[in-house]
Amino acid sequence: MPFNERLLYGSQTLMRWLAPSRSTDKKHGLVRGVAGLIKFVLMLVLLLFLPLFWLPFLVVRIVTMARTIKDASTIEMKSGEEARWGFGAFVALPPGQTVGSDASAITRRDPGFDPVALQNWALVATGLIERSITSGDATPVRPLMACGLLRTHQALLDLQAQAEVSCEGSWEATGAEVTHVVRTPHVELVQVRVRCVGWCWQRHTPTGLTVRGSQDATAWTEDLLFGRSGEAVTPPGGGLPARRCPSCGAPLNLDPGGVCHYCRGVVTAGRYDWVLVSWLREPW
Amino acid sequence: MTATAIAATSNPLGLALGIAIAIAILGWILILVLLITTYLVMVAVRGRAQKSREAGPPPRAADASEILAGLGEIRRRDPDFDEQLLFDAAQTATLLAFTAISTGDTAPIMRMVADSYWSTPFGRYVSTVARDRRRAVLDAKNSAIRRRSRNVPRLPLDYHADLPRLARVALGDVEEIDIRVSFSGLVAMIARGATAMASGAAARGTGQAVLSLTRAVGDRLNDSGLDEVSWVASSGSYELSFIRPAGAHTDPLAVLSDRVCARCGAAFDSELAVACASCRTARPLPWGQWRLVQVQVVDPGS
Repeated sequence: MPFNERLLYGSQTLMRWLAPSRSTDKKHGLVRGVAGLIKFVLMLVLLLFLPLFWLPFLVVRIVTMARTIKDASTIEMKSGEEARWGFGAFVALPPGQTVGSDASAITRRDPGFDPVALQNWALVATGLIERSITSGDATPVRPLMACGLLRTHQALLDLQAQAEVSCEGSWEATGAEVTHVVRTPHVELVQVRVRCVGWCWQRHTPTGLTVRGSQDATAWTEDLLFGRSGEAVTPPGGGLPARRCPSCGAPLNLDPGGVCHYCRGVVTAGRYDWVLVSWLREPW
Repeated sequence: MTATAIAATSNPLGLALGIAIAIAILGWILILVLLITTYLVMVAVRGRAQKSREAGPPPRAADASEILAGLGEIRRRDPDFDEQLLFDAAQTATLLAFTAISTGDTAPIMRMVADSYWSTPFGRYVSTVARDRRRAVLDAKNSAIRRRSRNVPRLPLDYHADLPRLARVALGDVEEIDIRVSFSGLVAMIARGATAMASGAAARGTGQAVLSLTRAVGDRLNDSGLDEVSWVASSGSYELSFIRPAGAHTDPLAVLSDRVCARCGAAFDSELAVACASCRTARPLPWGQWRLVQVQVVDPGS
């Protein structure tokens, strides 16, 4: 611990020792009275010289705080209800053409492309995400999420577990529609908006306090963004939605890194088939 | 002649007492001056920082053809190179910054960044806030031991990173790739006076920050007060610069290297683990020699 902090905490400890004790003192009344008087005088002296203990700490703290305030401009912060209800507000995808024209461009390149199949895949994905979130385990979404998204999803579940935040709930997808299609030479993206009904409740286990959601049934929407390489084509066996390896067509059997057990291809990198690259629920 | 001087001429005890009282009075005056000066400096610093944020960094042209040419050249040198790996790294880097800010744990992000990262304003902010958070966790633990409080620090609730995209590819003595990514994170605070604490943490003006923090201290001193819940959301858009030595090659199996310990074969049980829980071997990075060296704030719409 730095010297300035030791000085401050030392004065605090001394102050606690000098403060009148609430515990019953077995000492003789006179001794207790004299000790109390000495403690009182010492307390007054300590109060008088408090700046000497505080100044080094304050100077260091203020210099740090000034720098933090300057650096804090690199991050946007909101608090309270504004933060609670502002998180998850849907943002637009990078500018693309209309759903129809880009979808047609994809179909021309890959005749097997079927937006309805992706809508159905999104409905299944919602169920897998529900299982993952409520169990605190990323395994159910492994065949679905791209490597980067899976990594951050798993890390978030780990953080919540560390903080003893649990998520309970039960919901189902009642409908889905493709809302955005983008095609570039490198990547193809399809955004599906899913309507959900059910309940979701996040709470802090030790205190029992609700931190988000409730047990009341409600409705909300989720945006699922699927992406794949601009060179990928729909696999003949149906690929990941059909629970088949999009690289070799074998029944899906992935290791923790998203590698096919049979052909050793990294199938969740988006090189062979559509994978979920982003998932966002509207404020709830 | 002052009282101190009179005392000094009378006896040495009086001299010592006089000096001590003068030091004490000087100390209190210094504290007062320091607090007033600090307030004024904070107002100026915050205002300047806000203005520089609004002005934003100089726009850097992201020419698509230049990017394509750069990628083509990297692929020619390194056929296994896949930019998706860096997109994953960018998403992970912002998540680990969020982890450090909300829990104080900087070990996971330290693995993937170069020293220069900590000199950037964003890196400095992450480092300072993480240190404060670690101190808060320690204080909360000590308070709990003394049975004075069961306050808990920030609870990570949600995190979202937008789809990263390439902003620049530069080839020279080192290979450098800039990735743009936006992220947002949500944490809950549970404590007496959490609403005021959250408001102070996110205050845009110094006056508001001081008022909120004063209110938070008042709420926390109130023994009969109940724990309350509040939230803090953080977000930003950044350009992350990754570099690696020129001529480095991608190991196609590197992407799998951080799933299972190469030494003992045990699976890494947490995404945030930096070493194997069984044999303590350091966890390798799945993106080979690429390291995050610089973070620059960008306009979300750019």
